[in-house]
Amino acid sequence: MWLTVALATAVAGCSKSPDEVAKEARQSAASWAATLSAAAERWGNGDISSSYFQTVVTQARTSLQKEAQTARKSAGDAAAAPVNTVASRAELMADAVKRGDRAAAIEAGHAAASEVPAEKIPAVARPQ
Amino acid sequence: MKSLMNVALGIVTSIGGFLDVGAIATAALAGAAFGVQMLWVLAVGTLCVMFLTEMAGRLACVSHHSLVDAIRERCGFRYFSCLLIGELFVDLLVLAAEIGGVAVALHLVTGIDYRWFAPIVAFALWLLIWLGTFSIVQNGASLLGLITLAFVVGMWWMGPPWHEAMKAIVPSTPSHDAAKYWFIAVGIIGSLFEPFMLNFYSSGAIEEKWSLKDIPMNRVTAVLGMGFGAVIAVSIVMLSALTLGPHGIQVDSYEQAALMMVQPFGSWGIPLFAACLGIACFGASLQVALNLSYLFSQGLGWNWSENLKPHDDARFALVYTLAIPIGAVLVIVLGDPLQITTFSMALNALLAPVIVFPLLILMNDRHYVREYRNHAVGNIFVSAIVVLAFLIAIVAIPLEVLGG
Repeated sequence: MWLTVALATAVAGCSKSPDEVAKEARQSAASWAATLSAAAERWGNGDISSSYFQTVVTQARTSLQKEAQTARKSAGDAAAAPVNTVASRAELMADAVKRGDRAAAIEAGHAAASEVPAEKIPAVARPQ
Repeated sequence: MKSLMNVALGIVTSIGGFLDVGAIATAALAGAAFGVQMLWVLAVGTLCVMFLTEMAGRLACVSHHSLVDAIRERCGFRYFSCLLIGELFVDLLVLAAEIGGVAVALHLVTGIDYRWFAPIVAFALWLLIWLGTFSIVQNGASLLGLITLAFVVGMWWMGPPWHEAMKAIVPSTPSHDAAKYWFIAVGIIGSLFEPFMLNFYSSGAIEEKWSLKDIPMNRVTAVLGMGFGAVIAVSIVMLSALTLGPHGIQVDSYEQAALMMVQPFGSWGIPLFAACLGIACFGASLQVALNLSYLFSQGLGWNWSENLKPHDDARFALVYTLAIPIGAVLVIVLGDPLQITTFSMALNALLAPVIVFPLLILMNDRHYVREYRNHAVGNIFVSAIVVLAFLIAIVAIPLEVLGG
């Protein structure tokens, strides 16, 4: 009984604040923007197949849609804005894949990455 | 020569046991988010799992009991029931994560929704266990698992920062995202401490009729095998740190993780990643499914052996025949295989003390291990592992909420 109460209290105490939700939404959007940009470049070079690139774009759209919903519900429209920005670029990329237009996909990827820039983690990240 | 072959086979087998969907996912997450900084968690976890695996094997060599068999006998049926319920729940989730890993691997190369592959993978898994013997199941999957050495090749190709990696073996705290950092740490420990692996290893020793003369081989296998497995996991961390993190890519899905292989291997990168993920997960899912059968059969006194025909140990066969479809259904129902994986790894950490604590008792019981009892170092180390596992278990759920 006490263990259940303690566990429930711990979990409840750990729920995220709107600021944290907004920060996470931005991080997720930035990460997907970087992913789309890198994948588009690889597709442009012929390093990844069209079907794989399409898989990445589809996954990005699904994840961003979920993230936008969560952010909007917990922290308002402002928190969902960066997610929506990347999501709209992902839509353009989905169209580009259908047309086989690699240049347009790369352009949309770069635009997403510059509009919502990701924090780049060096391989040798410094500890505190 | 034969014993050398056995050792080599044991090492290969251990690589298969060590590297599964949890190890791949958590290593990729760690590298992308924190560079090489979390290598110390892998180092500590590997050392722990080397000790534990060696003990589980030694117990089987001396007492001819598998771990679960000995726990039931020594700690009683009530304790065993708790273990059974806990491990049933966790193993089913891990099985779902592994089947999901194979399904995702097929999805990466075909573009077809991974859910369609879950029943096909489950059927192939069941068929192999139903028709195969222990050595076919174990060694076949493990030999194929050598493809995961591609991660090591990729890391070498990228020119890893050795000096910084060596420094990262010393424990450190994060400069950002502390909750995420500790959640991934829990996940890494959970992926190494998988309770199913300990019982599967000791059951395998019984299946292969290990005896006192196999104790040195068990030691070499545990140390070198887990060591080689760790080398591959370290390679994934480094590769992820070198190719994903610097571009700002975090691992929220396997589609992102797969990109780590494109830089070193070009157009071969995605198929190679898919092959590594698929084969490692298929091998691990064989082990988890069989372990569920071992768990029930050894605990409830049924006939058990993967080397027997299914009609000679029908209840043993029934358990994996039921468990595998349940795992496949979980993949379809729960969705997002990466989230199933990270959550099941945290649950592994929760369950670890339930199996590690009795192992400590058994390894000091003269009735079971005679003069081959633990030395003081082993006892202290396992005690530390128990404390660590308890702490991990306590923080795992809040960290899941904060950082997951």
